[in-house]
Amino acid sequence: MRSTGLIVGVAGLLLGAGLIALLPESALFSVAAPHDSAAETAGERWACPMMDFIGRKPGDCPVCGMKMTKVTSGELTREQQRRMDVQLTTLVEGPARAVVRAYGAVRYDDRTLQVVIPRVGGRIVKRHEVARHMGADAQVGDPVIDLYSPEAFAAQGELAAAVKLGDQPTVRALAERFQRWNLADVAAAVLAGGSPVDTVTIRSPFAGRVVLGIEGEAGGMEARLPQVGQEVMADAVLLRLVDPHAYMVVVHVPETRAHWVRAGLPVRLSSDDRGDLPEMGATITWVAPELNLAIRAREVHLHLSDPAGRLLPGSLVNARIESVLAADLSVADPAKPGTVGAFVLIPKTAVISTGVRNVAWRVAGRQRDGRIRFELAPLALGPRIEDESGNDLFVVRAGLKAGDEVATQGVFLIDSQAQLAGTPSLLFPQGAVAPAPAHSH
Amino acid sequence: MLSFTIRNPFLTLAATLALALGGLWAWRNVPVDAIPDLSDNQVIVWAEWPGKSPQDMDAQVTSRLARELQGLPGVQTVRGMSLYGASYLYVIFEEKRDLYDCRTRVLERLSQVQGLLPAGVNPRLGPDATAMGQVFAFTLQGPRDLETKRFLLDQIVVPALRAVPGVAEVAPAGGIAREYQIDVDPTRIEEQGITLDQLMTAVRQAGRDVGAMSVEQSGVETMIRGVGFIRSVADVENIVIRGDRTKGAGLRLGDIADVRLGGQFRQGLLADGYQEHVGAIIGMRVHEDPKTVIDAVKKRLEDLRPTLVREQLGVAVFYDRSQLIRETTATVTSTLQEAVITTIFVVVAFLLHVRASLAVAVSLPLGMLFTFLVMHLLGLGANIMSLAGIAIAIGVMVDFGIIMTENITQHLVDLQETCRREGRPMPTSPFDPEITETVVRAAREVARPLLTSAATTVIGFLPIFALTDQAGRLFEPLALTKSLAISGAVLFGTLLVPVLCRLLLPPWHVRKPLLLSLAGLGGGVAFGWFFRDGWALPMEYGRWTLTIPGWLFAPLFGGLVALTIWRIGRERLVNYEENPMSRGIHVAYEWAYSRIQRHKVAFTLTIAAMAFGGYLLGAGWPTLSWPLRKLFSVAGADFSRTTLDQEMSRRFPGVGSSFLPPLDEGSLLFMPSIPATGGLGETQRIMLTQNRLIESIPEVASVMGKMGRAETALDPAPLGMIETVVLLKPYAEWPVHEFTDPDGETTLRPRTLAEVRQALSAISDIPGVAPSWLQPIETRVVMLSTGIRSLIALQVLGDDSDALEAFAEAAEKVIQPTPGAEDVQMQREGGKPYAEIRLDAAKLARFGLSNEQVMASVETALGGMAVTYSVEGALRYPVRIRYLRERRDDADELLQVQVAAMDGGHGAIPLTNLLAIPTVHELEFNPGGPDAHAFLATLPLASQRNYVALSERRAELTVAANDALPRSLRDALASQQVRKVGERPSELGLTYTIGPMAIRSEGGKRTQYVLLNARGRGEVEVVQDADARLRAALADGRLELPAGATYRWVGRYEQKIKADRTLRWIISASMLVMVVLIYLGTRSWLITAIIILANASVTTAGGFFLVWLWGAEMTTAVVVGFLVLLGVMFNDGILLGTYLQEQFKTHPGTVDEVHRRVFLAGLRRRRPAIMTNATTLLSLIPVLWSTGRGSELMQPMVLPVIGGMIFDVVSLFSVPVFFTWYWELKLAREQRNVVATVGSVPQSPPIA
Repeated sequence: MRSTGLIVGVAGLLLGAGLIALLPESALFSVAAPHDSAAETAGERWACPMMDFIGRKPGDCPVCGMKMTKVTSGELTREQQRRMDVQLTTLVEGPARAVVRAYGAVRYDDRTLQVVIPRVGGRIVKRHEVARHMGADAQVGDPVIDLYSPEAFAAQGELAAAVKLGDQPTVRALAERFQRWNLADVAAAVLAGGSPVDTVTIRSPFAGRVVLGIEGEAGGMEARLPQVGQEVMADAVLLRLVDPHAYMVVVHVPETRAHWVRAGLPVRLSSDDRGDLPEMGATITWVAPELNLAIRAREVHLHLSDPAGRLLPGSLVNARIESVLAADLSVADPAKPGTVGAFVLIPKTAVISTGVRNVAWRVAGRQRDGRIRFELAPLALGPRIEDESGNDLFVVRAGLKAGDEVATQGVFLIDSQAQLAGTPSLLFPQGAVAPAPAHSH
Repeated sequence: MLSFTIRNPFLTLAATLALALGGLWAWRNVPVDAIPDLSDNQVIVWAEWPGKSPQDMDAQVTSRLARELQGLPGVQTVRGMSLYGASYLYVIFEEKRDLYDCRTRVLERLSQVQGLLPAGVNPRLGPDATAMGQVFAFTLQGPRDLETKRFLLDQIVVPALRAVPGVAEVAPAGGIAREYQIDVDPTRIEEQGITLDQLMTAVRQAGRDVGAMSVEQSGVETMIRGVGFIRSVADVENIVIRGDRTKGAGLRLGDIADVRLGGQFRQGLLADGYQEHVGAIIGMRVHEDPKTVIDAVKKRLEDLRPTLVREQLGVAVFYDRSQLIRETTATVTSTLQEAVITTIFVVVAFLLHVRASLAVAVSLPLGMLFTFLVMHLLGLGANIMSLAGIAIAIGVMVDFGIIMTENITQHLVDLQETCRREGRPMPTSPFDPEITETVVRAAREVARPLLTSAATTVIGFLPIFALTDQAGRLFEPLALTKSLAISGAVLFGTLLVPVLCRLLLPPWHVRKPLLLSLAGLGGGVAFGWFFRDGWALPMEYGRWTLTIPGWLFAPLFGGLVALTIWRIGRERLVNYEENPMSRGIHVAYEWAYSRIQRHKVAFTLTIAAMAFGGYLLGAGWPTLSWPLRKLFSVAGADFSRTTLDQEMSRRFPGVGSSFLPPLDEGSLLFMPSIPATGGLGETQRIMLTQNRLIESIPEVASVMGKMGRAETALDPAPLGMIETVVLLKPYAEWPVHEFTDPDGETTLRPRTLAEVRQALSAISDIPGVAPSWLQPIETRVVMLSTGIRSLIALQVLGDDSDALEAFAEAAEKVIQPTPGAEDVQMQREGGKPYAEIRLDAAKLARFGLSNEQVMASVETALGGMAVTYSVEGALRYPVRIRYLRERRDDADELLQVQVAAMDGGHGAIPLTNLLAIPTVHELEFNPGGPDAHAFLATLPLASQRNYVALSERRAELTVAANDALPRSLRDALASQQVRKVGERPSELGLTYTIGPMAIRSEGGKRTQYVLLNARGRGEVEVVQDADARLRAALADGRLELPAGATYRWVGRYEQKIKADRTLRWIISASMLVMVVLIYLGTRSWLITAIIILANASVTTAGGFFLVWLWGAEMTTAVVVGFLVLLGVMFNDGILLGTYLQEQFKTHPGTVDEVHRRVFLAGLRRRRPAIMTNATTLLSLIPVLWSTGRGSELMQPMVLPVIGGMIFDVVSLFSVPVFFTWYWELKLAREQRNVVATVGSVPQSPPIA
């Protein structure tokens, strides 16, 4: 009994050992399993069409067993584009027309300022209409004041004497003096036989609106209207007249845009009460050579004429200065079209930015079934400009060229997908923080 | 006691009735929730500091508070989270501490730390609700704008709902909180010669109500009151800024600024697929009954309806827990009903005696009511787990009654025999002393074994109580109710059933006419009841109904009732041995037994195969091959390289394991996450799009997305976080879809939940959005208990948040390919662009400005500061001054913020003149070195983001003021690869950096997570696999752990491991106790060994087999099921073993005698054993078929029991067979010994 068991045991052991020794090794042992990462390639994803499983290797979905399909990060099917509401735009090269917004106030055009002065001294005995209120409109020859002028009276006496004497050279000389005094009518009256009067009427030699002074003009604000009883010296200013329809708009351009203005640029104005004033054509006539220290802005003057009277002096107006950039990003001379630079412009909505780093997503390829592959385009951006229709644009210095198609909507999601997939994105210029050289093969 | 109850039947019945009524009352009043509250014992502290960045919040508020709160007694850990302008601390206390006590302590400490915090920061306690307490959410619907809706919500709805008992908080969500906004154009006020400061002073002085005194005039008192508060936009517009007495008219605010009612800075919004909404989320106080609270809230909303209708508003609910509660309890209740009915059928079928069955069955409802009564006394709520405890106890509950009834019947039959032998009539009155005596004697006989058996069952369940944390919170109610139900059953089985037996078992002599009329009455009522409507059984969630018409069903049912009544009245005492059921069992048993005895080896092999097969399928080859693996490793080989191992592992991976099968909550929570760079507008666009897409799935009832947070401490979500509640329609309304099978056949059927989830995740897939589909309760629990929102997470703790983030990002890539790991993603919080206003001290000095002045100007310009408040009724709204939108929504314009010059005169300095402006270095690459694009890779990440390649050879690098050049650039400059051709101040002015969106900390360390969900594989395996990958990557240098950092795995998986470890200990201990109990019961090591080796292994293998067959996972629920199984199985073994041992008290002598005795023992025990097994088995089977909500939690528990009980049939034979075999061998050896030592004294009968 016992020996039989022993024999059977030993025989079994030998048989088993022989079997294992004789079998080919591959039947028993498998070659070392291939390492997972060998089949992986960076940026290539395999997704199950049913589940939200995303793997890195081709094969069946580990969850539901369906065959996984390849997704390249940045590649979007038509359906995905619809869901993401992706919109594209093609970049064009063109002049960079920037709109500089500034705020300003309307003044009378100080270039039209004229003063009424008595050429003779005396005391004012009467004020006529135009001298009573500021803002009165004076016509040429309107009486301004009546002046008690001993000097004029004496001159009249002399003239009358000379006439009496028939001293023609003296008469001529005196008449000429009256002419110079703008008192020719007084002289004429004497010549016509009138007796000299001690009070003469000073008339306005110009037409214009009576103003006290113009802001910015030295001492202008202290000016007063003539007063009755006031002694006036010869050549003292009685009234200031300006053209009521000629205005100057003083606009302060912020420091950041200070270099984008130059004389000759067209400006569009709008006022708070009248809104847009498109027909009021104005151009920059003067640009201050320095910045205003107090408000850090550059002063710009526009001169314009407004016969319809829509602007009032003192109105606050918005000015939109339309400048065009030259090739060196300075402002081009509108008179010389040759200096205007051509730039690739990208809509602001196509750019996502951390502030310093700006990227856009460019269409890198289209499949026949509507799939679009996007690729990251890091951008070097120039200044931001606002075009006439209010769109924000960037000047592209590097990164994209004319004819490139970029996404203008859904950009964030495209970037987000790249970030998830570990390919280069806005925040990760190198893709995921890839520590492994072994990973990149 | 026993004899007292039996001798005083009316007293007992009255006591029972009282107990039943008490139980009934408790049942009606027990708090009902879907699942037990699983959240940690935590107190939330939160503080707001508007407009401060997460860094500031973390440094100045969160970490200071965390340090203080960490020292409180009983604190386990303090988790911190700093968001933009808000700080959250989760103080997690030890399990057993009273929540309100903890809150008091936290509050106490908070009052002491006030001095540590910046001025204006007031830490507050969160509501005394848990995350699971968010039971109800609604929106206001109607043609009003968001601001008005929000105003009405704040004014009317929220105060009303707060007053509802049980409501801890009402958190408004979405909408726009009112605010007065004064939009100023800086240029314009500049032209007016006014500074922002003057404007602010004017507004600040604008409004205050004053109470003057009263004047009395002719005995009439008149109160005087100055009315000055801002109450409307006009009030704000009329604020005088400057006036001149001589010139008259002053300058009003309205003249130079735009005043409007607007919305405050938003922290969150609600929207469905089309528009924004305003709503509120109700948080329930802890330990409240959600159903009652929800009902009360609904009632209050109903009360508010007229008011709301006047405002053209209505209430639309988008989350309502009560439906889930209703459905789960309905599922469990119907399962209970089915179990009770099945059990009663089994009892009736086996006993074939209606009155005896009645006596047995009565202990079922009474035991349940008793359970409810005790539950109520203990403050335990009814939920799916506690009810499931009762459900799995039902089969066992009747056992006691069965055994008691059977024994009493046996004795009464004996009495009958005695009477017949003595030739006197059997006493039939229950009050006959002889009968009473018999009943008392019979009851006494089994009382002790019954108590022992109940004790075994309860002891077998003790391990559950040792579970901690979530598993404990989840399964303790189950273990408790099951133990209670069994105790109740024992109580009634030993005390009440004998009384009932005494009353019911003796043959009644009801007079025929009376019985006839009773039967007729009963039958008639039953007939009438069903005659009109028939009997309907809803199928497939009520999609269609199986209806038996009244004309068919009513007569049948009426007849049955009448027959039953008739039978009850006429039933005689019968010997169960003689009923056909018993005879059938007898015959079958004999047939099988004789054959098995003949083929013992085959039987043993079968058993072994069954056991091995079950284990192989269930536990899997990797587990089973552990000895082989060890053997190989001892021999120095690697077993895992053998083809055998690989093949077997592939074929038999075993069932996966995870913590809990998720409860189907009937609603889903979709949580897409997008990078933090996403702004409010873009995130909202994504949310609306996805909501629209989700809504297009026909199974979806409604969608409501929440972005950011509701105004509650329970919802610490940054603005970019979306949570969309997707409510599914009831199953019955799911439309039918056409499916094409692989063989080309098309079938029409509604989709399954899994298919709907697939469809949802497919439709909502938008590239760039990382999706996560969970369920509301599930998410809340996970989110608040571990601070993360996925089931598994890799937590990295350290000090340097940038380094942690980099590590997490890299780890994400390493973990991603792990099979079964889904939605792998790092917690994307970092990466919010910050535009920093760094001031240059020299430039400040140039203008004589202080830092504070500049910052105040910035704050005001951007509307960061409320200048004053308007007062409207009980609410107050801020008044803010800020720049016009176009001047403030643009970083370029930010530079133009005017800072009033020091002299206060006419003049201000734009911010740009005060900044420490970053420098742009213009670089040119020499042909020898790398080109501009390649150089990027050498830079650190922060510099990479500031690097712009202009062409192959030219690039620009922006470096913040006072920062050094990156090292690689310095090297390149030194080695002449790169030349610096220029340097200019950045035209951007501000310093741009990438900062975190939220800062997490735990125990003072900053944390970072990589989140993942396990799908298709058990969580534990996924974690192990992922961890192995991580280790490998760390080892070969692909990953580098930042200095001072540690990592660990957290999430629900944590609980699983912890529960597993505890369970392993407890199971070992209880197994030991079981062995001892079996030995004590059988007094034979042989039988104990047979029971353990043969029965236990086969039975558990059966459990494994069914778990595998069902496709379930090894969850804690399954483990609980195994515990139940072991308890039942051991009981069986003990019953048989005890009896067998009784038979073998004397030496059998011959093999034939052995056979006879063993067969007798088996025969004697087989009926009760089969019967108790059958009740246990059949009462659980309905659970397998139940499909309602909550069934997915119960099914795993019953799977092992059912599988085990089916396999357990062999244990009916295994003990007798192996026992006989042992005796046969023993006798044979004795024979040989006798032959060898002729004349020696025969050995005394040994007991093994």
